[in-house]
Amino acid sequence: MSYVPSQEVEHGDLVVYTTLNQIKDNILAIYNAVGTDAVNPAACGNAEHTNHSTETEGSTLRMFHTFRWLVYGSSGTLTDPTGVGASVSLSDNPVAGQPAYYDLESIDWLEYGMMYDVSGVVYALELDLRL
Amino acid sequence: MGISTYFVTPPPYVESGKWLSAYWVNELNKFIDTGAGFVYGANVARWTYPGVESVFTNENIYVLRHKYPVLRVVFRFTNVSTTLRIKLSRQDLTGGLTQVYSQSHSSGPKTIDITLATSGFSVADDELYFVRVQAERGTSTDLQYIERVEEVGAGEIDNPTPLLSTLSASTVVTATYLNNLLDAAKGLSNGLIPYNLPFVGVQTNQSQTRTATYLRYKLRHLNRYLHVGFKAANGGGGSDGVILYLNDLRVKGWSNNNTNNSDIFDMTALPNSIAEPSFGAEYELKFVVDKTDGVFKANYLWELPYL
Repeated sequence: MSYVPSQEVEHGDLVVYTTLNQIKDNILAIYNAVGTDAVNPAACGNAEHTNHSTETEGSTLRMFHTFRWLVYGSSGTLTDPTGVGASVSLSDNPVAGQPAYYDLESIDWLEYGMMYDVSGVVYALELDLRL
Repeated sequence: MGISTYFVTPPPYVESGKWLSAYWVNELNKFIDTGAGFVYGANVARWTYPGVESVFTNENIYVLRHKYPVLRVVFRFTNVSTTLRIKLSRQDLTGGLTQVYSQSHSSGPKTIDITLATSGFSVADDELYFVRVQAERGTSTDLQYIERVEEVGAGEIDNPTPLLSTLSASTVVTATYLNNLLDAAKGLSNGLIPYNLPFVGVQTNQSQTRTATYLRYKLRHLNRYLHVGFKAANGGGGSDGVILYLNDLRVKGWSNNNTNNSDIFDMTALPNSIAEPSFGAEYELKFVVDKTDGVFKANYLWELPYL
């Protein structure tokens, strides 16, 4: 049973039983994908800061842009892998040990669904809220 | 516009005798679609952190936003006398760590579950915290791996099946039926928390063999298309300078052409008659690199529902 993106019902149209059956099937499709146990995976740090650092210098973190806020540690650079968008400097949080946040909506070339690279930082992930 | 926020509220319960509006159905669909966008969106492969020697806490870091009661760390190793330690902190510094696990093991793999509430480490809901692990190995030369670090909420997602039934053209739709649909959707959303992990784009100046490569990634099969991107090294290896394997089965080879390469594979029609992994099953992707010059870099590995 696969997920079928829903069609919007127009005001004044009849809501037919097949629409409600599709909603039911979509709920089941999601459940079949995720199961009963919720999982919250951790973001792994940048490979250039690992025990293989002499061999992995230049490693980056590539994001599939989904949420507004980039959370990261240390300083680095955000780049457009296509080379079109201007690179963005990422500054470390002045409070030692605290993550820094960057509002990705302030980058004019970065649209949701685009890829971008984060280099230099120790870790990075996107969140929907600034914590 | 993408998912800049995850705060999508479900529609209210319906009352018997009231009109069923298009608005209510559309709001319910939106609520479910948001969850689906998360489940079926970018399915990013996780790097399997390797160690050819002991791994110490200043050499790795994992970050997550606290949601669920159990922290799970999965180690893979075969050698004897490996001591595993897990340390947590609310700062990303290597000092001030709280050790929540320390034990010696004679064989692997090992899945360690830590109940955070009784671990001696305090973290509030939604707070960011950091995990560092240590794996001090015995005398074996086998690689050891940190497979994954995650929080688990057992039973957080309600099975919607008992609430759902199939309508026919002659069924009278009741308020109870509609509210059950809504409750089923709400039961899913409890366990669909938003996150967006990076792809760990490992760059290496070393060749990587089929058995000892540290360019290993894992992901659950949820989407139809596997997107692969890497920058090849500069020379060596002939037409098989880079080989991608799926569960140790060869998918494709490329030459070391010193350029960015991208490819998309239909998981239902993989090359070399490789069977599509079962829906939801975890599988391993790995790069093997045979190079004489330059560097290899994994740019991305993820599943998407589209080409």
